[in-house]
Amino acid sequence: MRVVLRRRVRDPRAAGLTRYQQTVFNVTRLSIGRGAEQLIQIPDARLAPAHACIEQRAGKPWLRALADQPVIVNGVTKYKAALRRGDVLTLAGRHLTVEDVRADGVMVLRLGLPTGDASGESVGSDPQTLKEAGLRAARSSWALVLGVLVLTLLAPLLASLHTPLQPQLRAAALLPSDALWLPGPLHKAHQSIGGDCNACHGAPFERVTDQACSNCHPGIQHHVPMASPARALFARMHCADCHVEHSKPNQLVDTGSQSCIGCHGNLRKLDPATALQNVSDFGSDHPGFSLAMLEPEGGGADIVWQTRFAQSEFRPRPEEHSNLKFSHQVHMEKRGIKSPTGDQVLQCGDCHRADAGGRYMAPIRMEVQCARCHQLLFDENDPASAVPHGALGPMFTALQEHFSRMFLQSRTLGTGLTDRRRPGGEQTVMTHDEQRRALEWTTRQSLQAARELLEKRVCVECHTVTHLAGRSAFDQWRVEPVKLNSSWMPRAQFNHAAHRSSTCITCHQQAEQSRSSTDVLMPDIKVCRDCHGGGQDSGRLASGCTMCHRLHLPGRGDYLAVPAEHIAPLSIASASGER
Amino acid sequence: MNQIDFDVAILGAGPGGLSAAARAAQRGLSHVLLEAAEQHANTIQQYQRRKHVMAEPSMLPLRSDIAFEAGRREDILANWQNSIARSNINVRYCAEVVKITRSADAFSIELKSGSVVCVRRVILALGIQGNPRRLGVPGDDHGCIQTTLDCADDYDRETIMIVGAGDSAIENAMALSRRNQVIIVNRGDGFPRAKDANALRIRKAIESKTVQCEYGAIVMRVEDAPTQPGERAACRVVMKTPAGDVAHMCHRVITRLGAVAPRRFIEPIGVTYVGTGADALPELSPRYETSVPGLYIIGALAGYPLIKQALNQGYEVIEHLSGHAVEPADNAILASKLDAVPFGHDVDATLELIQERVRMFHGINPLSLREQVMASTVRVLEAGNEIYLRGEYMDSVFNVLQGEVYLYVPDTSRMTISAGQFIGAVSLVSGRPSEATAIAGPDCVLLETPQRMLKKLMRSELAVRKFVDRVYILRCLKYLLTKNTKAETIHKLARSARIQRLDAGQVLFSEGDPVDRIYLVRRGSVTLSRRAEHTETPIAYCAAGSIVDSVGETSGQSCRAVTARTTVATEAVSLDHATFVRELRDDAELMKQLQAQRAEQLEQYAHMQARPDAGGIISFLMSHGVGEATNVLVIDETLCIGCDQCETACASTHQGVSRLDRRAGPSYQFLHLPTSCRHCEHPHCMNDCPADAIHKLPNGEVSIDDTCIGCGNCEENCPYGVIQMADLPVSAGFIDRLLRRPAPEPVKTAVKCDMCVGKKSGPACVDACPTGAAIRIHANDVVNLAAKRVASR
Amino acid sequence: MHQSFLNIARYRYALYAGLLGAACVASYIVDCAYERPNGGTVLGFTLGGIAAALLLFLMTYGIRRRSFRGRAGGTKRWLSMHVYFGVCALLVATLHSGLQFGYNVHTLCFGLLCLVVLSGCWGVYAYLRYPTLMARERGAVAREDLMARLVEADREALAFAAKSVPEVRDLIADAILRTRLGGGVWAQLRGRDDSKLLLVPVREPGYTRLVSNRGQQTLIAQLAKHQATSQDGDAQHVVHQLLQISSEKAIVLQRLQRDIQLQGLLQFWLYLHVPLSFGMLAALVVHIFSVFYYW
Repeated sequence: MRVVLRRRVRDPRAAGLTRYQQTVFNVTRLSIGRGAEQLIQIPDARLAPAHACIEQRAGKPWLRALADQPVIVNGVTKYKAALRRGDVLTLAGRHLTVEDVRADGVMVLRLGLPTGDASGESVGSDPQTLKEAGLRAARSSWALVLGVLVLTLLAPLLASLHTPLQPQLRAAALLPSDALWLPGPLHKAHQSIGGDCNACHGAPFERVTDQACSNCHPGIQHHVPMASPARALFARMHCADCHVEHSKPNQLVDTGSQSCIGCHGNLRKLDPATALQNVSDFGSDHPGFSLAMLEPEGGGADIVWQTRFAQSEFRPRPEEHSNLKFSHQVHMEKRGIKSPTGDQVLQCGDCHRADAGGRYMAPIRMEVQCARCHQLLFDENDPASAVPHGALGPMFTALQEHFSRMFLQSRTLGTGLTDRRRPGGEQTVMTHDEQRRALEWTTRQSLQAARELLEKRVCVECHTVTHLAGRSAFDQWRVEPVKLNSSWMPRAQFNHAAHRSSTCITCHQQAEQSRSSTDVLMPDIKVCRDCHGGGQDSGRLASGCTMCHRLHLPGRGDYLAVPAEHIAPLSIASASGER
Repeated sequence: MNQIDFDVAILGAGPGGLSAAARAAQRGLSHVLLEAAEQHANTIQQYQRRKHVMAEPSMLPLRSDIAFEAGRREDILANWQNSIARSNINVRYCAEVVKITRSADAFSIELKSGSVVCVRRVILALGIQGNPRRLGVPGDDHGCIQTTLDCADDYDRETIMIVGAGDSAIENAMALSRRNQVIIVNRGDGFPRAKDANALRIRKAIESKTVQCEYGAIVMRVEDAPTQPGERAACRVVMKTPAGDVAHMCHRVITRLGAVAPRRFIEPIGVTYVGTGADALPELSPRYETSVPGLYIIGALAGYPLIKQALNQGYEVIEHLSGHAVEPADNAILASKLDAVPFGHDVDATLELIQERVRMFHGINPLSLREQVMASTVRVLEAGNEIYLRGEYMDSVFNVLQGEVYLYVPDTSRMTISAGQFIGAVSLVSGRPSEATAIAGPDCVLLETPQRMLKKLMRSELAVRKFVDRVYILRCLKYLLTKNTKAETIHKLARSARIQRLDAGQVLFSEGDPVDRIYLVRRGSVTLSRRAEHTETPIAYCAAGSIVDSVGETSGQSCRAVTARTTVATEAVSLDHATFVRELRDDAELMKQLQAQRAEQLEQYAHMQARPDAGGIISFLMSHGVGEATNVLVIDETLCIGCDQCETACASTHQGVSRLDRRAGPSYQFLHLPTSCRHCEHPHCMNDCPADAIHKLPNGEVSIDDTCIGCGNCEENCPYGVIQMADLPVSAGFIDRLLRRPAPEPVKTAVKCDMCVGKKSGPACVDACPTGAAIRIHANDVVNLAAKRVASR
Repeated sequence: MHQSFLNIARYRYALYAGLLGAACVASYIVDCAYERPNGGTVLGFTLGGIAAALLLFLMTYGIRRRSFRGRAGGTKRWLSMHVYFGVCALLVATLHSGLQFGYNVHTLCFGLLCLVVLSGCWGVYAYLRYPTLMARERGAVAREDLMARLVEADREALAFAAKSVPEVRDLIADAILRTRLGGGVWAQLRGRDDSKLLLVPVREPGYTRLVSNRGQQTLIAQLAKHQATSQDGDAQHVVHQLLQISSEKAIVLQRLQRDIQLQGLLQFWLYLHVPLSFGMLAALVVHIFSVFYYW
């Protein structure tokens, strides 16, 4: 589009004379406004920086208001208009007249002088400070404050209070919900809860109740027996004290020892009569292991095994009374030990096997570990002559069957077991007299064999056999019952699997020397301390309480059974700790 | 011997004149009141509108037939108008007296109109303002000509010619040029009489064609201009210019040619003046009679600027003339003041006693003595009472009426001042804080007189001035020299001593001069500079109280190595060098003292020469009046973030008017001196404050109290333009606000920095500056500041 | 003498803040041994409390700045504290967080705090650097005077142009009209001369174009052309005058633009700092609220 603009200017030299400054534009768009970059610049505050523009539309000049202020065309306010010759645009008191619109699209405009008042000054009209440029700290502050409050306070509140909306809000990924308040992710064990904060958080401004936990975790065992008044010590404790949720690294159990040491560091203070000793650090002041010893009480048939705790480092060393005769030294003989398949060197693992979990050792069973070598033969020459292990009854039966079979065989084959037989006489049926003799013989043979086994050769190697006075025949023996200790430290947890890297002897050092089964081969605490240090020991493996001990001990009763307020306060008289 | 028209002629219808005339009318004394202007109390008429006029001194009872009490200008003028109307005063306006001649027992007064009045006695009650100087060319009484400008905004779209090149002329021109076309007619070709700021403004205006100026122009005549009916009356001013004769049409001509000092008019009659200064006063008898019998002078001209005094004097003079013995109005007050004095109860007797006892007042005019005592207070002190402490700024002088006073100065012996002598000489002359602590001796009675009163006395009584100077020199020497100097030595030196008073920028001695005298700066300050390739670089700064160039003086050099230039109006005591050295060669302690000072100055020399720009900073600060400052605001431009906290703080702690302008003021080397009060040692603003509302407080603050009448003299006098005339809002009382009464009109008063006295956290501007850009320093810190600035760069 | 707000009282407040920070760090390290660092632990709560208290204290600086009758120490002392304890607060808050961040309001609060402190540091830099620059650029002349000079130059230019040929007259008038000084925020901060000039072809045919007139260079070039082409002496003289005026104007203009830019840079940070701190305060409130709401 080609525009010829004739701008009328005052002639300072000859006042009153009109002069026109003619300029020719060749543009697609003729911009009009106050700004310096406008082609037709009219410096007047009443106009917008970019006020309007004239462009070509279908070969015709077309006016368009750019700011939302209209332009007065022929005295009528318009926002857009097609321009014809003779039209007069009024811009801030100046007249812009369309003098001509030629066929070849050339448009001739005339810009008059300001009629009435017009502000002439231009420099300095632009803002020259940020404030003038419209920056306001207060305004943006309010915006930001309100934004933050609405997005992170009101919306989440809505989500948490307005139940109908709750699911949608929480479900939607973009909508702000009280998920914004999550300090951290849920533990993976709790993922199943999902986004429902109120599953655990009940009433607002109230800590997570133990009830909330017990809904999913019923039957959590207490640290002390429910009966004991020491329960009172735990009245103020809540699950959330130790089990911190929404916290990274994701770990639900407080492995720190502080909460334990809080009480056990000086237990006397809480419970003057307690038998437990104070512990503050495994490395330094952890008392020696007190082993759970099995003590037989009463004897013979009605023997009972009681558990007694005994400090391992007490002298004389505690002795185990399992009624089993066993010498580790013999079995671990370096040169090997006699076995049906010749001499053989035994390793610990040949007998001591870990259980399925690998955590504990499987119990020793005669049939499994011993029987391979210890075959119970009453007749060395006859490998079939084995008696069953266990109660005596079956053994005698086995013997009697054996000898009666022998008797019968000898009779048919005519082997002269008994006194010479009469010539010529072929007998099929035993006479009553013969039967009696046969029984006597069998019994005599069995008893002999039994005595051999019980008193001389086989059983007595491992078992204590008592000869009951005044009894006869088979009733005259009793094998004392055997019970091997399965858990030496019931209050601690030891994981053999975790210690695979070291050999058995590293910890059970006396095993090779031990001759008698009364020896206790459990390692001393010193042994542990070779590797394990205290809570923040730098040299050795730092070991807090929770490495071996658990808070929730089995068989103490439901943690949440009695609400705290119903607990009788701890009284010295009954304060026997837990024995 | 022409016959007598009137018994008394009273010149000037100001308060004094009116009062006298009214009294005369009462007494039936034949009198005439001649006033040059067309209305009474011309000076007060020229106060700006609605100004609150004080009735000072408040304790002085009013004795006059003219009613007067503090109030608005308009009310007071109206009031007087009434009294003129009521009491049948014979007043003639527009009767300018041209000449007074004295014959045997009568005066013949020649009026401008040509008529002559013959009277027995004349009372001159002319103000000091004098009559505005006229053009003195044909037509200088043209209706378009005026000598004053009340309110510039009254004139609009006029062509106004202003004749004159003084401050007032320029200010009028600038004020008018906003709405009118202004032509300023300047006899010379510059504006030397004007303040720099004004000169600058007018030059800018002339360059930018907002004001037209005729340089070297002399008005020839003023004549009527032919005007079409309906047009504003105009006149045609013809003037001779270097470019030949020029004629200007204008609607108004304002002549700002200054005033004819009344002295010029009075002396020819034979009245003798005391002193030659601009503010010297005529010699007067207790009855205000001059050395010319029958000629009386009262009011401002006699040195009593306050309205009430004038009124009283008018009354008294007439009473005296009409033969009624009248005791001065202040008698009662004097009596009450003096009854503490243990000798006699009759006022006059006591005064005489004082005059003969007090060395200072020997042979001074009883009137001025009265005035002195009037302004003084008698203080009876227990032995051992502190009178003032070392380091305090004092604004009064103590004459010992009885007993004695001890002066204590570090490392000199105790000085005993006995009855008849006075203390406070040093700070009276030098304006420095006192150098000694004064303790009252046994049964000691003092007469405490404000410094300003004594200064006035010294101006009028040469004897007093001499006496004060001598005492002052002696004291200075005593302070300078150490205790074991013999009295006769001191006196010998004192005899050789001279006091030198120099204005700012004058040279005390210059490089290469022989070392013949020793200079002790007593007031103001001096910079020492060395000439280095055509430029003088300041190398040291001697504050008041120090010895100028003690290096040169004690090192035995024969000629000066530095030039000593005063930074502000300076006063120095100079001793003969030879005598000094001869007398004090063997005074070990003094030598030690001098050595110390010398070392200090030497160090300064080295320091400053190493860093010439420090010298630059010093001379910058000095040239902008920091040299005489006790407390001036200095802004570090490298820290100033332009937040204007200082101004906001100042405004919000001072009735919403900021007393400092941060943007204005000069800058140099990132140091900026905003326009705010320097609290000068000798405040220029105090020079002529009619209401004596400006004081210098012990802490050095120059404060304007609420007796300010808003005359604007201080604003004029302040060379740093830090005083502004502001309409302070008068806070309406609670009841008034309750009753929705209109708030009282704001009172025009002079406001300036008051150092935020009483504000715990110090000056608000400094306190509020977030970045630590604003600090306030004392003149003595200048060197330190400059050194720090340079070092930090 | 003059003492910047940073080293006031010999860096006393830096020392105090440093000690506080050190104490917090030490206790944090010690505590790490016993429990996992977390806002919920005893130490966590303590640190949180300290941080919150600090932040509230920092916010009161705004009030102190506006109260002029207070006796609570000089404002520069407060600013000094504001700066040092502000940095300290960020440290304490970081410890309080236990370095656990996520998509939640707590991290939002922390992030805002970081931004606030960053903008504050920028502010310190600005306060230390720009005043000096501005003073150096401006010399001893105030901006008002420069402005006045500019206007004066324009007036003179117009006056001279009046004596010249119409083209020159229009050129000058248009150049004055389209001279830009300052403008929007971005324009001010960028401090670039956006002056334009409507180039009316003189003598040789062509179209009128709107061209940049940065530093009045185009105008000067045009005038130079005129001077070259114009014959008679006084016309040349006039254009010569105009050239001088324009080049002087260009200098003044540049100084003004620089001044405006520097002033903008000096002030801009505050328009971030203040809103951010209020946003942070809001987030802090929500943070505390939410923590105890779902306790």
